[in-house]
Amino acid sequence: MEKYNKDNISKLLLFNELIDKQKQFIEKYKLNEFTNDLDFDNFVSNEENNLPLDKNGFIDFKKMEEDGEI
Amino acid sequence: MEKNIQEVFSLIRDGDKNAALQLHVKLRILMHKDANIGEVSRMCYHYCLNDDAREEINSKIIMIIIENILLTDKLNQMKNWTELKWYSKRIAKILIDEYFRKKTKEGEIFESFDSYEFNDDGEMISQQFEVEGNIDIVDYELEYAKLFKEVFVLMPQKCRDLFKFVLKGLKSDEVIKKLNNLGHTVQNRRSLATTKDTCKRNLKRKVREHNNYSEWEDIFNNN
Repeated sequence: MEKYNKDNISKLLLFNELIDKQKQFIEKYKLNEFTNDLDFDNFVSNEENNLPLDKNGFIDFKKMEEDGEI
Repeated sequence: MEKNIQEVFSLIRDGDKNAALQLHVKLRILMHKDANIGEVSRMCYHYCLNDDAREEINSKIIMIIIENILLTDKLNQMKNWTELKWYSKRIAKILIDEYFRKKTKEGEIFESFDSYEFNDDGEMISQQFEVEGNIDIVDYELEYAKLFKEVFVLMPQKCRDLFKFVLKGLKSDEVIKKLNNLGHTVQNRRSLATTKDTCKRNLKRKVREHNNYSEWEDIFNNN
C-alpha cells in the first residue's frame, strides 16, 4: 500500500489543521474537563453547554463552523 | 447513546469532522492537566516533561491515532474506548522515550535529513517502533523530513544553501561569508534579509502550486 503518497500526506496535514482548531474549541467549551472513566466511556455531549448535535449525537462542529461560531 | 468505536473510525475515514471531534474530546480526557485524571499527563509528569513537551506529545498521539485510522487497518480490531485508552498510553510511553532520545541529539536532525531514503513508490524507508500487538507507530519527525526533502528540491541552490546555514544556527555574518564563499552574492545583513524573504515567498508559491489539497477539502465540505 502506498501509505505515504502525496494525497495521504495532504490528508494528514488537513487533519492536523483541523485538530488544532478543535483543540481551541475544546478549551473554549471546557470539553477537556471531564473527570473520570465514566465520562470516557459514555461521553457524547455536555448537556449543560447546549451545543448542537448531529444525527449521530456528536457535537456538530461542522455546523458551528459554517455558522461562524468557531 | 454511545457509538461503537469502529463506527466512529469509519465516520472519520469519510472525513466527518464531528466524529473527529468526538474522538479528540475523548483523547483529551486522558490529557487532563490534573494527573489524577489525565493518565497520559501523569506519565509526562513522571518524566518531568514541561508543558510544551507534554502538549507536543499529546498532539502527536492524536495524529498517530488519526493516521492509523485513515491510512492503515491497524485499529480495525479495536473493540472499545478502553482499548484505545491503553493504546494511547503505549504510544505516549514510546513518544516520551523518543523525546529523550532526540533531545540528546538536538540540532543534528536537520543536518542529517538529506540522508533519509525513499523507495520507488515514494514510501520512506524509515524506522518504525514495534509495540505490543503488532501495532507500529510512524516516526513523525521522519515523516516531516520526507516532506521537507520534497519541498527542499523546489528551492534554487542559493536558497538551499542559505536555509542549511540558518538551520545550523550560524550567525548572520557567518552565513554571509559562507554564501559568498560558495559563489552567491550577498553583500550585507540587509541583502541577507531580503534574500531570506524572497526565498520564503518563492517557496510558499511553489508549494501551493505543487501540492493539491482540493480533493480532500471537498470530502470535508460534502459531509
